[in-house]
Amino acid sequence: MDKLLLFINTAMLAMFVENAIFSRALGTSVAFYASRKKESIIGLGLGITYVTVLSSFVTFWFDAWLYNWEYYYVIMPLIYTLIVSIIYTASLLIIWRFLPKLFRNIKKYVHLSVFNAAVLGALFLNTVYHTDLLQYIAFGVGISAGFFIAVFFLHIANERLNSPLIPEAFRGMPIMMVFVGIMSLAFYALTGYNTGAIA
Amino acid sequence: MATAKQIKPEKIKKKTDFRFTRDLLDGLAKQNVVLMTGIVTAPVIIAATSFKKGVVIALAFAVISFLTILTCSFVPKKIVYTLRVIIYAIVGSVYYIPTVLLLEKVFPLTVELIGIYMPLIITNALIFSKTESRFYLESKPKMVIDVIVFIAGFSVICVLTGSFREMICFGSFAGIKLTDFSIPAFEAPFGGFILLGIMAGTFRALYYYLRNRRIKQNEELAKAEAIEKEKAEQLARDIADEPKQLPQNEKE
Repeated sequence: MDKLLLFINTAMLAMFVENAIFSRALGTSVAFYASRKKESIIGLGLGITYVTVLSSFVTFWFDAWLYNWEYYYVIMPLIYTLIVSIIYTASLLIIWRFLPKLFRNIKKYVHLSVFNAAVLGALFLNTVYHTDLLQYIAFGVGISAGFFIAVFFLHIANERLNSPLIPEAFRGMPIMMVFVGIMSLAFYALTGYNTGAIA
Repeated sequence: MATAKQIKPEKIKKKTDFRFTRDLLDGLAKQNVVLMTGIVTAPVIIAATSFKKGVVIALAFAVISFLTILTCSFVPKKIVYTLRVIIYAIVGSVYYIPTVLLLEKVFPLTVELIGIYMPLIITNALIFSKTESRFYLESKPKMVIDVIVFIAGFSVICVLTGSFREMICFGSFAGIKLTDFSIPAFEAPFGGFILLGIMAGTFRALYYYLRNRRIKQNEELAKAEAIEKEKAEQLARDIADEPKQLPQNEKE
């Protein structure tokens, strides 16, 4: 029971407090791209979840083995990139062999869901904050779910933010940034704010 | 014995389609990766909260991106893009190692403060997207100039955002206190998002204004030229008509 609670707690923390987009700006450009179409949100969301969770599981063992080495932080990106690349290649080969139709559909944007700041950022944050395998996986799940939620919010707002009511210069990316900023402010409140009045 | 003399093909001088002013503005303004296309924003939004951090991010970005793009330009195009991206990522991670060790020697505390946003530079869209859609379609010399200009576009905005945020958040510039006025909340991610959004909107407005003014000026110039041409043609017609009229007058 304690393990389950720890899992949920870590996942919720990653989803809302350490939200990939609103709190960390990880994969913002991919999120903007994905928010245009509903199919892209589902495709990219699933891709990021799959890679992040699986990579979190593998990186845990490398972190446990090499964490105390003085220069580990320098080669960490290379190791993580290699891990992600192996998972990506192996998954692509399996999909290509057994699900050729799906391979043809995802081929164009599959790299976006693998080589982006959200996946690698989640792995780096895991290394900084966690020591337990369960927490590693929970954090991976939470970050991916947080990314999915953020992109869904952006998708809802997308049409209105691109309306002719917005001045031409602010239409698209600039107003989207301001919108994400306001959402980020709302998510920032989830970390708690002490007014000092009660104390 | 046949003495077939092989004739060396003459080097053909290719006339490049590179136009310096147009392509320079492309990476700096029209397709600026932060303010116009928004494809590289995470380090600017979260980590560039001071002038010094802005400079360190810009340096790391410049070294890693330039060397990675240049090295990966030799990767054969026969390999499908879906797999080529793996090579790009690995090459980027390899160049990250000497870059971060060097920067740590010069700015030890700043590199530590930037944290995870330093290694995240290896996954920037300039390496993964812009290479395929632009850089690798150009000739090598043009590509080198283009990459430098794009990196300069990022660096300028990164340092400017860092300086601006330092002034707003702490009332200082490069660590030198300028004023007591400060809004520390702008150091948070939401401050970065809002500030960058406003900066992008203002930059675009200025860019559109200048572009429209140039178009208008060109139109006016073309109109004036057309009028001039018409006048000249009319004059030429009048001159051409004159000799015909003369003999008639003489007859009369």
